[in-house]
Amino acid sequence: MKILDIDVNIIKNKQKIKRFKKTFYTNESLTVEHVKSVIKNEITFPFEVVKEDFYYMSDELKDTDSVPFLSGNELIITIK
Amino acid sequence: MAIGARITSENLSGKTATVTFIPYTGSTSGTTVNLGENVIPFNNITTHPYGVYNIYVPEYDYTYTLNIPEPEVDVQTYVYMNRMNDSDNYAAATLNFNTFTAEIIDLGVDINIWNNNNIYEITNSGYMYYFRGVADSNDRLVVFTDASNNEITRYSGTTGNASRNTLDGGWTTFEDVDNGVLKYSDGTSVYTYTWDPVTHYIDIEWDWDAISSDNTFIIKKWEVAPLSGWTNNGPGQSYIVNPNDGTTSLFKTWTDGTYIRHHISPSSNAIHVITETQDNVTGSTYTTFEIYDTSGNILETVLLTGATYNNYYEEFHGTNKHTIVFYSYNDINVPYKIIHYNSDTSTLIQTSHNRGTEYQNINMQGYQNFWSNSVDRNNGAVVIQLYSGGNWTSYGYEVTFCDIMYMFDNQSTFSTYTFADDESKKINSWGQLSDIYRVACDNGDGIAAVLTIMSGSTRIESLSVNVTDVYQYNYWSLGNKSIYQIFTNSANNVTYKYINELGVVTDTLDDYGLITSYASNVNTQGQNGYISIQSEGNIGFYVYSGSTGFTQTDYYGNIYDTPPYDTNTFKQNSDMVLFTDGQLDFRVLNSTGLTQSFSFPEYSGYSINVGATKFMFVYSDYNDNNLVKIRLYDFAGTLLNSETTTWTNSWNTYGVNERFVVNNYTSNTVEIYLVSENVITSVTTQDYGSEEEVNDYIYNND
Repeated sequence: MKILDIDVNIIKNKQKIKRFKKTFYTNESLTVEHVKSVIKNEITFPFEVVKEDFYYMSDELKDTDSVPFLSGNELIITIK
Repeated sequence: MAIGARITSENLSGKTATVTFIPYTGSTSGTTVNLGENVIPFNNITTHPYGVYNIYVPEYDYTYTLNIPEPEVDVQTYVYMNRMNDSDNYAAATLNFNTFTAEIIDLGVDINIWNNNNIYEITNSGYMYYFRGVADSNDRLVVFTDASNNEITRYSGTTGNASRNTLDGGWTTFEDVDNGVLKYSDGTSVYTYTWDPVTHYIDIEWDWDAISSDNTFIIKKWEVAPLSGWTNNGPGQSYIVNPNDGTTSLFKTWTDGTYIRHHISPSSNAIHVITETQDNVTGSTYTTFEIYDTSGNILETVLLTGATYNNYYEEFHGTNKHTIVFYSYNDINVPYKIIHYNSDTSTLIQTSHNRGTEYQNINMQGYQNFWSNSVDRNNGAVVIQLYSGGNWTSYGYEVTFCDIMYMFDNQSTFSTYTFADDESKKINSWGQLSDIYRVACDNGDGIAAVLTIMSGSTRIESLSVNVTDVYQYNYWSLGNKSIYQIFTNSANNVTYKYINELGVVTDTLDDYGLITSYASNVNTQGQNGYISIQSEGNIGFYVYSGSTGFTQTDYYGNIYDTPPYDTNTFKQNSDMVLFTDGQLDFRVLNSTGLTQSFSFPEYSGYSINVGATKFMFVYSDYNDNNLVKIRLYDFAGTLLNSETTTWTNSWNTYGVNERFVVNNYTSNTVEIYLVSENVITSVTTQDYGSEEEVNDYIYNND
């Protein structure tokens, strides 16, 4: 299986409150939407999302984009 | 980086000269270098050719003096790319806030051939302008510039796949995937890395961050999968890119089934390498954790044996500090393995903590010295909170076990504070981290409280509100102080607590009834805080660094403060402009308190931008035919400079550090203003389709 790492940052009041790595082991291409859904389901505290941004390096990806099997994938979740 | 200077002359060509050279800076600064006899033209091959050349020509018995100035570095600029006036080329309108000049630079790129696509920045240095072909969008062109926005070089290629990036503000990169060419610039020089795209592809390592503190970055080069495919990610190598000369050197090599992560940070001078062995049947496991310097020399090796580790939390914190906690994703009986490394002192700490059901959850906090913050916090600390599972309440997790491991910046070992040991309590899983760690908790008595862990002591302070009454709470960090906001009664009532550095509540705004739910806001910057409460009458309160309690003042509905920007100290300005839309009065809340009330001119529209040391008010003056006017103030409320423009159209503004920019758009022209204390000046371009950028990565990405 291929490794696909996502760097997850959770921001509240402009402060990083949690940063962790989520690794997907898969040979299938995954969409941004799928990756975001899986990660949000694994966050164990209730939160109201203000903003979600998904980047591959300097590029912001859309929900329908495939996440590249490269380093530099980052999900930033800003919560209320 | 320069490779040297070539000295030429039409009149002296072929003449022999005796040459001495006095560099401006560098390792031989001020020391005269004898370059001996040379025949003009000649070269001075050195990485630092800037200085004064004394060229004595015996035939004329005369010494000619030639000055090669050092290139500008560390320059705050703003660029606006659009079509030049009276030309088909793109212009880069360049506002230089070091020289306070506005300049149109011809990029030499024809709009009939190229579409402008994007601009990438190096912090306080150059840019990379990216274009795609008009006739064929696979045609790509990048123009690299230096800190003065003068072109270093350009590259073009035809490729269906191109990746463009700025690496944490330290490099701009352009990857021509189809042709196997990577161009990368540090704002002084542009370097090239090539590979065979038929057999390989590359991946700039960005698992954590993309550069180290000395601007090293890492290229991973993977083998393209054969038709049968790889079992895993495939074999590859990594290369360290030397920040001084752009050269690459082989670092790591791996085969299919081994996955290597290189973790680097702009706050650290070390490379942290995690090796994972993949097994698609029994599962993957991390096998080694290694620490290298940025030249690739091994500093420490930790074998991850004795248990299966396949997940981790980590933080780079402060400067040159890193902590990682390995654990097992699928076996909670494996203890946490905690590894801390301080590369300033070359200190490696290895410790562990039980996991099990008692401590199955983890959160970790630390802040690296890279992103700026207005809070005067000490980023060297790290905290690891380990706790049992439970339900989330409006005031934290229900826990029966909770240990908090911490190491503040002035400490060299971990300490552990036990908050819950087989007892029913509540605690949040994240808190305020500076020289202290402060977190909301219920110590088992049903009363909302805060736990403050300090270097050498701890304190649990009651907030005197029943946890069952808490509808929602928030906190704001003021360095080592805090403001806690507690909404009760379905958020129709609010209570505020001001907590000092020792964790003691020193003032309270108690149980204000609100006109609507949540009708109370807090804005903070640094140790400054402004609270607005819409109760029976609208009121405001503020605190600053010298406060021991809340001070009442006027109500302001609009609070302006600085966006993030790059600083060497990682601490940005904390001044706040207090204003209410539709009114004229304003005050500034700064580190010494609240200024008197000042008044803006009457306006029909306005914008406010706060920077590092000043703020800008741009408005349309309905008493003067709606002409747009610019006013620059300091934080004492003093008007520093002003300008009346000739237009009445809409505008766009920036306020980033010392950069203050106003753009005016007409039907076919854009006027770009540089605004500073002593100079307000402008340049114009046609309005054809623009790109614009500030050379501050922190501003663009924080």
